[in-house]
Amino acid sequence: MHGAVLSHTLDTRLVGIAILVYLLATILYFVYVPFRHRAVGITASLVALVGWGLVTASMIARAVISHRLGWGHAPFTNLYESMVFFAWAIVLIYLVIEWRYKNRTIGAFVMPFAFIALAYTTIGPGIRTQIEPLIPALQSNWLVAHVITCFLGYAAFAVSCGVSLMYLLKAWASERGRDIGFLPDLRVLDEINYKSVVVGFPLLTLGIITGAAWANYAWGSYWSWDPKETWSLITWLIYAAFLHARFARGWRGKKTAVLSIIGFAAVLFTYLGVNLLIVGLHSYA
Amino acid sequence: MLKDGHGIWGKLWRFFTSLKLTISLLIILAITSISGTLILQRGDPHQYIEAYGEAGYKLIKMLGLYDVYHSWWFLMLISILVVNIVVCSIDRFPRAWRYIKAPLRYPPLGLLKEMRPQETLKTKYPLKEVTEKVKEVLHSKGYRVEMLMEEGVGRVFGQRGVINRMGVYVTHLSVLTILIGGLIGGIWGFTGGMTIVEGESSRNVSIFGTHKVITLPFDVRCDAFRVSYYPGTNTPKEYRSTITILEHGRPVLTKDIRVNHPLTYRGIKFYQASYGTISNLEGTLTLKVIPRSGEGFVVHVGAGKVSPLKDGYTLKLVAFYPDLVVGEGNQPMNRSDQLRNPAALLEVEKGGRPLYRSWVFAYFPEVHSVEGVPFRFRYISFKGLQYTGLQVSKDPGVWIVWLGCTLMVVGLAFSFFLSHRRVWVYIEDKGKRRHVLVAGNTNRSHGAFLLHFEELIKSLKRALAPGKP
Ligand code: HEM
Repeated sequence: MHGAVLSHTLDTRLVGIAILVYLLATILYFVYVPFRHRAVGITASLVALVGWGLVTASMIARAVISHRLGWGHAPFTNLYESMVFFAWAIVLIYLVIEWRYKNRTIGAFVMPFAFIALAYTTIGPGIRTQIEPLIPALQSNWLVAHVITCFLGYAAFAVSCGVSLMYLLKAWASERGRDIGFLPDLRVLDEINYKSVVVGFPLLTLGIITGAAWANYAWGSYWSWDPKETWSLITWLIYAAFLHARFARGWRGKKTAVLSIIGFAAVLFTYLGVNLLIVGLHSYA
Repeated sequence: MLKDGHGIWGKLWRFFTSLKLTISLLIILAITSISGTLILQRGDPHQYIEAYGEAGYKLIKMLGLYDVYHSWWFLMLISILVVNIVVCSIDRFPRAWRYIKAPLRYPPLGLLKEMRPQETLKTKYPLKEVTEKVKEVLHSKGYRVEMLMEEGVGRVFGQRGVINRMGVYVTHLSVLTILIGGLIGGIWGFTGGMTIVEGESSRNVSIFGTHKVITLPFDVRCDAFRVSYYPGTNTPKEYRSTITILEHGRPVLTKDIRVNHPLTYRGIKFYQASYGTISNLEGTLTLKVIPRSGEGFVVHVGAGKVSPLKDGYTLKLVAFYPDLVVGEGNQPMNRSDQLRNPAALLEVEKGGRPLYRSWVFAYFPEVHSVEGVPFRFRYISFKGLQYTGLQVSKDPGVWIVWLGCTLMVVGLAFSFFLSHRRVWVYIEDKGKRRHVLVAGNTNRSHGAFLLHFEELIKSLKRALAPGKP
């Protein structure tokens, strides 16, 4: 008699399909960028939307299955579930930006993050896809709020990292007298970079606060400098530096693009690096 | 003013109002914080000497790297950041406050004409009526509106989101608030643990990371401790301790503590942290007995005690292990006091003479050390004397930290999701017609404001179009 688990449930099969759909959307965006064929662009957006719908359905299915088993919990409680949510949030935020800025080329730089995140759920080390009952420490609404806010924030930072890469690429070419015409204007890229950080920073702040509240309820201490907490603070400090550099010192373009990329590297380290390389309290996810 | 001074104070002031300092501090804090995630924190000296050698340990000790986040240099960096925030706010706040206290309502016409975006409309309505209509339109767009009638001129001023100007000050204040809350907790708070056996009480808390023991001004009794499992699994669903607080020996409060549901009494919080079973002293093992012939039956046997089976056989519980592992030299031993891998060593006797010994494993029912014997056994349950482990903490600063967190969220919302939008309208009598000059300004999200301004102009045009009742 060991921990009851349920594997190969409907939700993981949906994610399996969604991985392929995300891959297809990524390829379509790659094709769209140099050729600017309108039909390809629209198809790319539709495929991305379908993939996003599949991931949404998968999360709902997972919550329903877990409730049926009487374990009832929202699907935000382990590495697998957070990664699926991450891949969901990146596409959500990206599609909003695509719609707001009427620009599809960004998809080529953001969709790959979503695809990699989703594909990672099947190949990443130590990822358990089974549905399991929650141990008592994880039975907390603060945990749900914590995961949702953190990962929406991380998704916004993924977008800012994507456009920063585009910025550097375009700036690098134009310094050599070449214009990469199919990439958006440098000014637009710079603005989207800032706007995504403006969305991501309050979400990360909320994520850290809800995490502290959870820790306070579960372990009696809102902050204990464990590696995960410390790395989330490091990430937060980098983006705080970004905001001051950009807003108050007038840094623009390359310098803030580089800061964004460093910030997202810190996000990835907080999320995955800490678990793989350092052990701490958060070893579950 | 200090900031214009040339002396040492002027220099210092400018140093601490500099945003270069802020950015450098934030980056330095980020980089130095990494060290504490790579080097063991609050370890024993021999652990550092093993890992880094004597010289390495000396360096770690000198730089406080064994406890980075409480080291003198880390606290100094935070102190500089605090001075930076305070000085910077004192320096800038008065200018921001003016937007609220004394807004620029009616700037001179020359200044108005330089503002962008800007638009001029023409209408035939009388001056007073135009001014009223403009006021109404701005009001309907969410502006706080004021108007002023002068000789041949009507003026309207509308603004919204002025609180945005306070956002950064609220955010910066929140950082200070959280740090103060943390400081108070660090000075007057404590975190420790206590273990209480079921039915007993205690008032001693061992403080973590030290050898200190704090005596509480009241007693804490553990009435019962239970673990429940998800049906059909051995995944724990709930740990629950029933706790009674006693003042001068009299019970005053009884409450269940669960993980994520602590008990607070007189500012001290009690959290469910651990538990265990005291197996060698007391406790009863329940087994299913499967005889070689005949019906199976259930038997209870106490630790070290003997229970009758049938046909004159008796059963003795030699040893019970709540969490069995095989240790050095193949010796069975306990990994923990929790029922994670229960195992029992049994002895079957007849007429007081031992016949054979047999192991029973809760999770490996088919494993038997002896075959072809009169009785086989299946583990059903073990009810031992349990103890609960509580984490006990007192943090008088925690509510200040939550206040700071609330301020931070509010401040960020003010700064990021509002913008201070202002619209000035100058309406001039020009013979038969009125010229309506509309100028706007915002402090962030200029693109969105331009669209908004276009909408506004359209609404004004509609309101001022001829023939409208
Ligand atoms: C951890 C500490 C800090 C945090 C979390 C923080 C947060 C913020 C945020 C969120 C903004 C708004 C940025 C934007 O609108 O894009 C801001 C702006 C600003 N911060 Fe900080 N800040 C911190 C420390 C400091 C310090 C130490 C100073 C001292 C000089 C400072 C000075 C400023 C200034 C001058 C602005 C721009 C205000 C304006 O021009 O409207 N900040 N800060």
